[in-house]
Amino acid sequence: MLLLKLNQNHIQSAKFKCDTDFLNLSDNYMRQEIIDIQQALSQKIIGKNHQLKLAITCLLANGHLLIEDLPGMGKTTLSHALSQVFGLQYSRIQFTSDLLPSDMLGVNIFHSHETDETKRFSFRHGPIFSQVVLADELNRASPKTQSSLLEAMEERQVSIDGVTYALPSPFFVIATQNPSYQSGTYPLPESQLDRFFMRISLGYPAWEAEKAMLMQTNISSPLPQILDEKDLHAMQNEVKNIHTSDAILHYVLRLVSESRDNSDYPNPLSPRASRAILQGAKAWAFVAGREYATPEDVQAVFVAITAHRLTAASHHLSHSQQTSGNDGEKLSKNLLNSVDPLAA
Amino acid sequence: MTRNINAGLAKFNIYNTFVNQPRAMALLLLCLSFSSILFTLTAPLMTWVLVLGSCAVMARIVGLSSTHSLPTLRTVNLLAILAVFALTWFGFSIGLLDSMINLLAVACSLKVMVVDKKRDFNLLICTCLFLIGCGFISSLSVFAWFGYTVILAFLLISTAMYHGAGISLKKNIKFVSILILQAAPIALLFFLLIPQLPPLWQMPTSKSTETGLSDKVTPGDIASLATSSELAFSATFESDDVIPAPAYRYWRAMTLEHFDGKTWSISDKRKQAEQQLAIMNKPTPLSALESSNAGTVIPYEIIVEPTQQTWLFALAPSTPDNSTNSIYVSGLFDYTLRANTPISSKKAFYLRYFPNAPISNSIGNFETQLNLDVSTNGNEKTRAWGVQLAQQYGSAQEIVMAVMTEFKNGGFRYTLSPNAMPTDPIDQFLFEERSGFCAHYAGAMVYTLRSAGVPARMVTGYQGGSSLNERVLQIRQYDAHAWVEALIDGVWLRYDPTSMVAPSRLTFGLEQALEELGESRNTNILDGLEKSAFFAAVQTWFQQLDYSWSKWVLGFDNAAQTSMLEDLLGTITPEKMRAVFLSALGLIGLILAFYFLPISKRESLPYSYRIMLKAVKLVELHTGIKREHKTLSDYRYDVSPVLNSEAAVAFDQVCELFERENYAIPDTEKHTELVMKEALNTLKKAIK
Repeated sequence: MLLLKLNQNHIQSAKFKCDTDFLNLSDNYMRQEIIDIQQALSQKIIGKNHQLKLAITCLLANGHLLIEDLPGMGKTTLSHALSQVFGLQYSRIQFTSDLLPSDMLGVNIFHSHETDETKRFSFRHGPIFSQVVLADELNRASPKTQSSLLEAMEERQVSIDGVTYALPSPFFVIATQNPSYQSGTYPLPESQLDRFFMRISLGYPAWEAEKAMLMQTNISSPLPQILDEKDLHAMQNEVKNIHTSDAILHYVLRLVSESRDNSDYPNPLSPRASRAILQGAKAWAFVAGREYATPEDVQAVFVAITAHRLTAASHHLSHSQQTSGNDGEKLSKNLLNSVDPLAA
Repeated sequence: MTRNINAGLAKFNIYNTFVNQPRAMALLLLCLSFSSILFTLTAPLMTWVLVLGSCAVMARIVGLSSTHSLPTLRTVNLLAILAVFALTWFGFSIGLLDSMINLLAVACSLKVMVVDKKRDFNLLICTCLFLIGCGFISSLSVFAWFGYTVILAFLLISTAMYHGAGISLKKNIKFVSILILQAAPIALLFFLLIPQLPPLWQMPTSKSTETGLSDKVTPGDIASLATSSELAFSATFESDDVIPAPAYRYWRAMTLEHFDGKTWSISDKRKQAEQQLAIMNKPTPLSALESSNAGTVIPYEIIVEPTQQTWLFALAPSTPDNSTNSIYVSGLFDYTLRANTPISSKKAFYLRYFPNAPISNSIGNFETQLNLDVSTNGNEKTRAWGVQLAQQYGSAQEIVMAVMTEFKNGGFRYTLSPNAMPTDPIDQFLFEERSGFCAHYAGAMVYTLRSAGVPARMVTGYQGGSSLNERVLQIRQYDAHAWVEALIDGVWLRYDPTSMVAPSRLTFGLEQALEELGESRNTNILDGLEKSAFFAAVQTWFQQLDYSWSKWVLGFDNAAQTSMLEDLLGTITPEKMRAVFLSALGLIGLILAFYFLPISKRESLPYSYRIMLKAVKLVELHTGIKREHKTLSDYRYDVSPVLNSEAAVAFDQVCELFERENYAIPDTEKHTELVMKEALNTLKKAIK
């Protein structure tokens, strides 16, 4: 039994190792603002430049981020740091199995202590009314609560007792999820996973990075604000205007249709996914300081955007399949390798 | 429950094996094709080769699901050594050609068990094609052609499946049928217009093939013949009113003038004489007949099944029309015809029949002496009877009639299964058994006539023939016959003693005669079936089809080609021939162009793509690093350390320009394509 556990631990550590093979050539060129942001963020999250860049890309593409990691890897730190750097309002919801939707969205409260004329209901805003929301351990909550969050993410508004409240404008949800084989989890259904623009995992830091982290003294000092809300809006608009030629659209279409034609992929990519790939490529091109997207941009974001969508639902897989790396990341890389970016 | 799951899994495995692994499916198809080829080659192949082949196919099919059950290389090698020994042992008895076919089949069977590389598979396919070629040696019928075409299609499909891994069976079948359809008109054009060249090598004659007739007749031979209903040849006339009546259809093949007391054979003296006369360049009586233009002439054509012999069958006297025959046919002094080379495949010959011309005594006294020679080896009673006949009657005519009358009234019986007559066969036949078939009667009559001083000889060939349609006669092996020619007043006259005993043999054919005599040609369970009208109609239809095939496809030789071209173009001049060949080649080229052009159109890429692909190919060739599915910048990163600096810069430029052209915001002012072309040229120079 002990042996088995040890073995399992080993596999887990292999899974979350620092993934250098994500590094792409286009990492070399970047916009100045992004370099500044990345440098600021890397004071808190050391040695994870690629993941930081993906997180920034996700924010610029106006999508929501899912981080799947073991506890203590810096998920909270990352979301907090992001809000600080962009000067955004931040709140954190810790999901537990008894969390109710109203705990998250807010409730109408009856003011009974007032005088008769002023007795009334007033809406108490829940923690979701925030520009950056960290939904911690999302898969520990009941499906009902999960879906109310995911609805809010998609609609960017909340309806309570027939009144609709708009959520703040840059609205960025960073959800974390414990690996699904841990006990006390309600796995997210594919339909809800699809709503997350990107999934990343930070993984263990490299030796040097962890040493640098241990040597840090001013851990709790907040990061300086580099950009503000307006800058973020402007950048998001610029991302929208990045040029995508027919060749790029065709490449995305070829990738998506390959996932649908080939029986190797149990969950083919949805149109929402293809839109996300294109959006991600645009944001990556913007980060790289280019006015147009290239196949490299698509490849850079492809695994992060599609891995969680291609994975077969976790309850379909046996335990060994989950841990042996027969997962979305592998499928995603296979898909990327089986399609020639340069075919006309 | 567990058992259920296991059964399910097993099913899934088989499904996986055949559907999800196109190679296994391809191998299965190949095995099936190979076994059907073996099935068609049962005649030349030895039994143990057939057993080996089917075992190999079984082993392969069983081994498709798991590689463990296949025989190891060591086992196959051992089998190969054993097979080589067996082949050398049996090879002497079956002849060179058959042992080569056996060798091919053995090699194929052994290879079937060890296919694991692409090369093995291709080798196997090629050998199977060769085996199909071998199949055509023994049978050229339309059915063989059809069957082999189907097998060929299967082989092509299995090749397509093997190489196009992952493409569905349906798509492969479609692909192969398109290929065949495209090839068909080209093949047809080649067949019609390319000169029909003679074979480059002579097929070694196979020992096991025996013909309906042989140049030796020991009474007993022809009985075994009569049981075979195989086609010997078919004769085509110009119209139905020139076809001779059944009783006059004597197809002469050879004259047997030498008798040693038991066996009739072609006389060695005549062979020598023929050779001497040929050296002296004396005109044969047939060539004289040709130039004399005596009486009516009936041209006809015979299509001879392969006999591996040179003799031909003709209504006597007939002259060959050598201007249209593909094999030169010479006439001999006894009015028989010989082809210059053995007939090893179905061949057509054009002949002219002179119904009114006599068969004369062409070499004079020599021929008379030859045919008066009486073997003194036994048969004393017959000789005595001959002498008695000579004393009794004055003229040769009367002697002949007396013998014929004796056969008619002497209580003789026609049978295909007479008792064996090992000693004094003619005495025994005439005075004891009194039952036999044509060779007995003809032999006895010739012997008696010679003893009585009348020159006579035995003639063998075919008698009769059934009409396929109003213009075509089919002569089968059971029509083989022997009759007598007696020299009376310088002319050889035909007498058929068999007609005295069984008159219906001549007019209605063998089957009718046997039926009347209470005997059957062969006891066959299909006999009842053969009588039904429907079966007869189907049989006739198939025979007609096969006949048309032999006439129009197999008979399409140089002469037929020339006449077809003449029909189309009038007289043939070298200019016209040249024009025809050029236009044929042009037409074939056009068909090919129609096939290839749409593809090149489909493949026409934007200019920038073509330049980029050229550059990438150049770099791939030079560096040996394949791009595969990498993006350009990744590939650049990989190859730039290997390239020299100038080439690296040029390649970078091509890549950047390509990127700008295809991904960036379109810019109408810049001529990216020209710059790309220049960069490509720089790259070409720099890389050398």
